[in-house]
Amino acid sequence: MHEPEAATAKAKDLVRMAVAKAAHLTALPEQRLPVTPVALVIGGGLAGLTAALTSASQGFPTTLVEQGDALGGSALLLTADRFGHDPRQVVTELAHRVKNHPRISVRTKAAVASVSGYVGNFTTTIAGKTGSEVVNHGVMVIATGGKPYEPKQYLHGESERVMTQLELEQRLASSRPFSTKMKQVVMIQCVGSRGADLAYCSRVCCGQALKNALRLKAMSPELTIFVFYRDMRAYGFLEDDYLKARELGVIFIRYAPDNPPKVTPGRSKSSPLKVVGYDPLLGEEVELDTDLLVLSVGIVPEDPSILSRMLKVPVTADKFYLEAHVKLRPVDMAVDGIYVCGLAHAPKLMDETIAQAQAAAGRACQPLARGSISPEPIVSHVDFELCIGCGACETFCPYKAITIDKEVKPRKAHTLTASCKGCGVCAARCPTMAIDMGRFTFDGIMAQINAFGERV
Amino acid sequence: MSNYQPKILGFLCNWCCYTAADSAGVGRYQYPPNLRVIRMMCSGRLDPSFPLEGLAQGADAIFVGGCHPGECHYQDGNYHALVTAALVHETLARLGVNSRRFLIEWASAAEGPNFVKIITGFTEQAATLGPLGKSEGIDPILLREKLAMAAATAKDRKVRMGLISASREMMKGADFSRRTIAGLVHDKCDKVLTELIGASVP
Repeated sequence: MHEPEAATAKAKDLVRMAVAKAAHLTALPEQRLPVTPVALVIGGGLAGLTAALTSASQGFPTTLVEQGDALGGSALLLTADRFGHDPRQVVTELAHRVKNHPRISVRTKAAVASVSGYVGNFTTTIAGKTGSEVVNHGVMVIATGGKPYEPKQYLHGESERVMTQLELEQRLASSRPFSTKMKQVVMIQCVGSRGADLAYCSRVCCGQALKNALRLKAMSPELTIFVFYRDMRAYGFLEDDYLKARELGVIFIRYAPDNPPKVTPGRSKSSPLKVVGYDPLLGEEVELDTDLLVLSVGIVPEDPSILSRMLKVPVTADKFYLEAHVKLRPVDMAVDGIYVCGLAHAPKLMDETIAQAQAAAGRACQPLARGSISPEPIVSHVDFELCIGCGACETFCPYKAITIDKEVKPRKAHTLTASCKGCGVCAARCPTMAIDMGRFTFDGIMAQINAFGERV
Repeated sequence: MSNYQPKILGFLCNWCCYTAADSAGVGRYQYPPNLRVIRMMCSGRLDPSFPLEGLAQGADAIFVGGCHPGECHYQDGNYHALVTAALVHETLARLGVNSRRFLIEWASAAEGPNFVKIITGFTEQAATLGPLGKSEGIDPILLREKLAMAAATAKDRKVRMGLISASREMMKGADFSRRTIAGLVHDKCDKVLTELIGASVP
């Protein structure tokens, strides 16, 4: 960036190299392979349920795999949305619709044990309660979800007066949430997030704090609520909640990452906690006695390491599944036929999860609806004149996609185009340069190298 | 720190390093503009003649980027790339070319920042080495001629048979350390390389 001349020179070189390669391109025979018109959804939370229902409603049999014993996922931890509706009810209804859908089969307490194949023709083994089962499917949607970050800061787990926003949600939905003696509540945002244990912002915690502050205010208007924040991420209509909270007297105090509020226990168990923080508007420290300290914590993804390796799909440094392109292919994974949605992809609100799950299922249905796929014709091919039948290619091929025909003399290597993925290791190891790759030919790459050298 | 702008040619695998470069761009990371990229499906596609030809054609340094060990999209292509890379290093040593002009490294698709770090460091290193031949004290025209011959030599059947047996033993031994692989390639290719290119320059 900001080096226009160097960038232009680079662009010119790259274009010249691409043109040089293009001159060597030849038409490659395209294959048509049938697609198994079945979808597999991994994860039975809000995202997975929505994705399964979307693909099944379009007419495609769908298998949903959930590792827990019930459907619903993290959405069941919430007790109200910002309009006062209970998401547990909605998700339970959704799960009911999924379970009773004629085209959806649900496997709970089950996990993906192995995956093979490619878009249109995946074969997945699901290990369940009653042994394992093999499912053939054309596409799959990853919706493995996330979970709340477990804080150890701010006396969480040590004092009964400290809880997370989710724990507060549960209390708020109980019959007698709090003692009438409760006078003052302090919330702290970004606990463990944005550079501490989690490198990222979890997007939803500000909105949740606003929502819960408003719920507390509705319950007892005389309650004093302080919110220590770094930046309020009240985007879209959440701004209304922020304005309303301020109108109702919720006090927002900004803190710097290097000077977070400090919490100390009260004199006895029954006495309030002491929160000391610097108020940049007053320009001095404030000391607050609080009956309840609520921590806004982020979302961590379910551990993706086993599944991501099985599927050969990338995850970010924060262990969320990485989409193929943030803007151009936001629900596709780099591997064709695999899509992602929900908290497995990134922290997001429920409405955003639903929209993304529908998008992922919509994308997933495309190859199913088309009925066939044409894999990239970048397979290896063998020049029989040059092949000496040594079998090195057969040894190193990871897919058994190139073999020596032992029946025919003289022995020659043959490519099984349906199995070949085009990696090219056979070409790099062929002792007589008898093997070349479609679109990534030896001459094509050499032409690129020559064009690189021709720069003016 | 040298002000020389080195010409660097990179061979990146489609699944990891190329995607990392892409995500570095999307993420607006700044890195030196010296690298020119040739995409391959897998670093295992790297033919030993590609990097040698790259140097012969005017590159000051060559970068090969693949997936992290154990994370190859095609299972073990990046290990085979290490075998090829070991042959390239063997060849460069015999021509008296500084081995730091050739680097093979890994960055996963998610590691845009890591890719940027690798390329930034490698570009600085190549800048310090200066134009090909300078740090070597060899006439560049002569050196490039030799490199072009070496690139052709890499297509020799005996050389490639050596690579095949090195790759075979690597897979059998399941030891993928660079040192072990370099040892295997040296054992298998020393004789033919000495015959065709000459002995290693001490």
